[in-house]
Amino acid sequence: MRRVAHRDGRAFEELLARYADRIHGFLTHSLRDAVLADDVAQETFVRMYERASSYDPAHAFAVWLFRIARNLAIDQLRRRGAQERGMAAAGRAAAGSAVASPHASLEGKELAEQFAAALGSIPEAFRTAFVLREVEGMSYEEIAAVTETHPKTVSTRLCRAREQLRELLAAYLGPGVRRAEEAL
Amino acid sequence: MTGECERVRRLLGPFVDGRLQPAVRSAIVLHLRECLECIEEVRALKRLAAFATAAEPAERLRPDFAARVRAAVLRRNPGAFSTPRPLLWWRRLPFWARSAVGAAAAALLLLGVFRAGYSVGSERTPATGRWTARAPEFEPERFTRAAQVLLADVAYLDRVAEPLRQPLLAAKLDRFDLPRQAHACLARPALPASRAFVDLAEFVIQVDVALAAAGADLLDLRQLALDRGLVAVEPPAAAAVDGDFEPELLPAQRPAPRPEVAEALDLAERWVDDPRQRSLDDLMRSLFEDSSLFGAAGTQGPRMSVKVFAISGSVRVTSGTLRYGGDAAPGSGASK
Repeated sequence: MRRVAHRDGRAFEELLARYADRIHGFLTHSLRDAVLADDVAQETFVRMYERASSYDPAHAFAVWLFRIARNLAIDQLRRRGAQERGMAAAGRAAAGSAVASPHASLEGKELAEQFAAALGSIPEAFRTAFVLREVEGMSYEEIAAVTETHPKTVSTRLCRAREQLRELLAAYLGPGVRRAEEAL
Repeated sequence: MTGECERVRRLLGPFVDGRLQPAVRSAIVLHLRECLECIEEVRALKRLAAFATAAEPAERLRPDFAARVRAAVLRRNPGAFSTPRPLLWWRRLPFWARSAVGAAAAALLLLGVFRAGYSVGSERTPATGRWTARAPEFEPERFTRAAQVLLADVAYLDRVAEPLRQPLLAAKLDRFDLPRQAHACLARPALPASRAFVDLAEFVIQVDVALAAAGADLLDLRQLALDRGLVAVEPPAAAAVDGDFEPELLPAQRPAPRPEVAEALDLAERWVDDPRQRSLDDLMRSLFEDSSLFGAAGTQGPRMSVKVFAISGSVRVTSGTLRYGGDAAPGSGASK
């Protein structure tokens, strides 16, 4: 980052190559809109460049970058608040219908879609904590730094996220779902 | 489900994340041994985690993403990615030191004017005995070679007895007329391979100033050279004896290096030929990230060293070794 702050294009591209997919994946989960996620990911890296000199090396770079991405995602979600609530309702409906479907015949792609729908239907704070933990493998402390909260709050949000996902995806998570799991 | 099950289930998330105190964890393990419902709940949480890992977003990043980001950065930040020239060495000095250097320079200037009526940097022509303002001619090859010898001395300065450090470096500066060459280098309007020469010239001047300053810690020079990516040469021990260091040339009849060594050397050669990559970190990053060799060995903690020596302005890789095992500790044996 020191090199990026000194306008080193090569260092910037190295970071871009290393984190672009992760940031895009995180934003796709957060925003549930791949095109919007692409735009916000682009803005994330532009901000990364512009704020490079303010980065404190005492903290993990990934945490700093994900915090930028998350704040931009929240701005987007606020901007389209009503729309988002509608989408959440749609997601909940989709997840609900998935629960009613016979899971044994589901292909992996469908299961992934149902999982994404269930994930999209839970509150943003829960979703972010869950994705950062399970997809990004961050510690509670790192998630707390990204979301600017306390590790205990992270623990609570993770519990809530798991409870809600567990409920929405009960048909896939109970006993005898190994076939569906293997389909992934 | 019992009351104990309810209490346990509230803790299963932190349990699978390894966040519980050992005593609580042990209690949950005891409970799970006897409760099929709760153990099934743990399995469900693990499946949920597996779903999250496996369910990648359907839309992948578009291939032109990096180009678009770069364009967006440039659009909003004209001049982005054009590496600014680092501060000249005297700008990095603390204020008091700059003031002292300025005062000394002014005093020298006045003294020179007083004595000769000409500017500093002039020299007396033997025929007429008059002072002329002829600047020394910058000789890139000689300067680079001499500066590399000085850098080699600086690199092992910690192995030289303290009283010998000052005369050792002073001899190198005098022997090759390095300070005047450095000033001539910086005075050139168009510098060949400018950054490398400017870095070397600024460093030489810094050595000159450090030697002139009473009580300066000369080992700071070594750190400075390392920080600036100028010194990472490990000269042969013999160099400490006569204070001279000649790069070891790779004999033509030397057997071809092993493929992995050849690959590392090839990367190192490309590194030294690329004016954008100046620091040892760049080389090491290339070696660790660009090379399938190191990618494959990454889990074992690869450790390597590549020796790169500079010869007459161009840089040539002369030897390389790769070692595996132990902690990865890049940073040995390269110079540019």
